[in-house]
Amino acid sequence: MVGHVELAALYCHDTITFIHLYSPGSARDVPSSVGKHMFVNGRPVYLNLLKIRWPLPALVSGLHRISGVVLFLAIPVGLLLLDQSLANPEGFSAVKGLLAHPFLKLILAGMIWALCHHLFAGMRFFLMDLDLFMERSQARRSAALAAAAGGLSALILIVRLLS
Amino acid sequence: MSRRATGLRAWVVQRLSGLYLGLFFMVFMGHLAWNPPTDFGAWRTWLTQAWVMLGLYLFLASLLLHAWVGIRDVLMDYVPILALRLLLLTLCGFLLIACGFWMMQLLILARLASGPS
Repeated sequence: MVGHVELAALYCHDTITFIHLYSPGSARDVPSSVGKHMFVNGRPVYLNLLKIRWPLPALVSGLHRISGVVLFLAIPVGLLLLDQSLANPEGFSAVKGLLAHPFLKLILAGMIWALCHHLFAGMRFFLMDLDLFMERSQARRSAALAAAAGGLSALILIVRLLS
Repeated sequence: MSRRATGLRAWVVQRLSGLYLGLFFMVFMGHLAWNPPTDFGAWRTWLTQAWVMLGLYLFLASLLLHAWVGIRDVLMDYVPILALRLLLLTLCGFLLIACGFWMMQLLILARLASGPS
């Protein structure tokens, strides 16, 4: 028999999507102290993100969040590069030279992975919104699939763009 | 609109913008990866074609909406102090609006500079 907290921890971030879909606004509009309010059998559950277990679906989901925040912060930087590259030929060469720097290549590779992971983990949420992969075993398999697809597509793009 | 409807609307906006961003990302990164621009002229000419410009404008709108709903969710989940949350939400909102105008402006300037096509 799985305890409530363990069950909530198991689905962790996925539960947020679930709450969001079936009672939009209700979960997020509650001011929470630290962490989140989960609802299992109608009871709020407090989750300390540092103390719960992170099974694969939760990890994929957590990385979806982190990559989302990273991508948010990357918007102004990306715009700066786009602006420079379109301003004049010197700017274009400067951006090209900058992106050829080994350290920036590493950062760029990380950004590409963040983008790819965010895309495939997002697709998984999209399918889950359509009521697919809602069983625990399916959720684990689809999480592994999303992580693998994100990693593989990132690898292909990194090889094509940065080598 | 009621609070419930606001949540549902944000959810719909997030999913629809995400759908477009995903499609745009595949086309755009696909082009960059398999048909990289060789020089400044080729890059600007490709980017300022009518259909690419249209795609970029839709991308911009989708990106701003998607980023706003996403960062709003994150701040609502992890910043319990109301004043700090409002401050961060305001900063993020202004940042996104500024980025929106910035990208619109740079695309228009690039289009004008590339001449009639």
